Amino acid sequence: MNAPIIGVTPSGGDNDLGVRAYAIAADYTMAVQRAGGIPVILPLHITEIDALLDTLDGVLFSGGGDIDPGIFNQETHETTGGIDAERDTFEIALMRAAFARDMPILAICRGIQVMNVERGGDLVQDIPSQTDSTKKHNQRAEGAGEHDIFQQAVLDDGENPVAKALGSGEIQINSFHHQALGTVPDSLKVVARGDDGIIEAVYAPDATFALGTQWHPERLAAQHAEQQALFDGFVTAAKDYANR
Amino acid sequence: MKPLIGLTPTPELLNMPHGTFRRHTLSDHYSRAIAAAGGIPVMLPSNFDDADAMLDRLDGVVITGGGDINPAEYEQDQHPKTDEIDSERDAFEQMVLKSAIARDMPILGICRGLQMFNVGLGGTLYQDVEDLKPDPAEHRQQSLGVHAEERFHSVTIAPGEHPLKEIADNGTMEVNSFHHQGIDKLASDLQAIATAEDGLVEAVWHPGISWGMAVQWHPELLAHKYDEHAAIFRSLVEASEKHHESEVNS
Repeated sequence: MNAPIIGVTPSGGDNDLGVRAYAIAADYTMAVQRAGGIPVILPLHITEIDALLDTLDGVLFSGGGDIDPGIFNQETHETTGGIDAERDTFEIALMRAAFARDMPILAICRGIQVMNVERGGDLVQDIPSQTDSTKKHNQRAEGAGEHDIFQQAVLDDGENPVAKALGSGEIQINSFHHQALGTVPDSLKVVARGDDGIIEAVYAPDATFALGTQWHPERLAAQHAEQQALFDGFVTAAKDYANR
Repeated sequence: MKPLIGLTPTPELLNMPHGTFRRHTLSDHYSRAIAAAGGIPVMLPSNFDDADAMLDRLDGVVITGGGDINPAEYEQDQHPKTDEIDSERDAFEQMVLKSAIARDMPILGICRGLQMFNVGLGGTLYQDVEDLKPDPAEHRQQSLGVHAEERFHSVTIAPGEHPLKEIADNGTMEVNSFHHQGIDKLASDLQAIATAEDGLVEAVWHPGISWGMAVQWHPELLAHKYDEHAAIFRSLVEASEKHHESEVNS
């Protein structure tokens, strides 16, 4: 049996020659690789989404800049930045098509926000000015390293793919975001929150495996087995998908 | 199913406000050229250590442009102008090249990719064409202000059975050029199928496999406006389709 192949979405931006380039942190691909998957990086210009998904067994939505708030019918907040129309279009179409064929989905940071918006929810564009939260959500600004644990969240009891990897109760996570989920559609279930109420994880009960985390498990997975277990569960689901 | 074509990326270390990250990166010209030719392009993580498992899931591969290959790979000391060495990338691309040849998977090399074909199969490079090759022509069009998406010099296409023979109308092609290294001693498994006026090898063909070609120029920058360069990618995609069908049927 061949290893499952996992498509990973990259960021887009101009390189130092002024040419548009796609880039992805190796932390993502290494976490997939440790789980036994073959990670490949998906160019954001692809428009033939179904032909692309025909070649894959799972999709990983990575972190990045903010989603255009016009997509969830909001005016752009002054702190919203890094909007990439090509990436928004590609990832929303990819999310929709992956759900439509029940392909396993792991959605990280911006990814959980794409999942929520595509399923019909919206976002808090700026946590400090638009919520009561006084917690810090950019750990680098607080002097923590990019591969360090920074804060905690509380995970629901019960049957859900996040708890399956991390156990229930208090979990140790990191934090690198200024936006968060706002309204969550009925098709997604919130399973983890910080003590400030910020949503840290959701999953789709009607899908075989579709979950999102607001934190970055790929930056912890090399050191923390429970974070790697999220990727292990995802790649196992992709293997099962390939055998369907 | 459309053929899935893997592209090797450029590794980089990037300092960002939220941390320092090792990243896989690639300009969009390569993947756009593959998509326009009818393939599905994906970028490959260059720190992956099992090329065989990866190629099991692909139908074709492209080794892309980038910095210089470590001259230790062809048993030379480093020339002062040899730059941007990345041993992890060298090792990954060598693995991909060897795995593709062993399984008869279509493989295209571009710029550094051509040099990797030659080094991986036992040839050597001029570490700096200007300093080391006798009577060199200019191979860096940017030094003359010629835009990357414009053609700069002609190459002569060799007779024989290979894709460039079918693509080139009258035995020549006009190409772009931005490299400071080039092929010196050609690997014995490779045929030179295009040469510049100064004799530098501009394209090679591997006659031992169904479709193995590499070019010193950058057809991905020309493909959107010059059809003979788009044809290189169409030829690769067509060969990858055939490879996919033969794998499915075997």
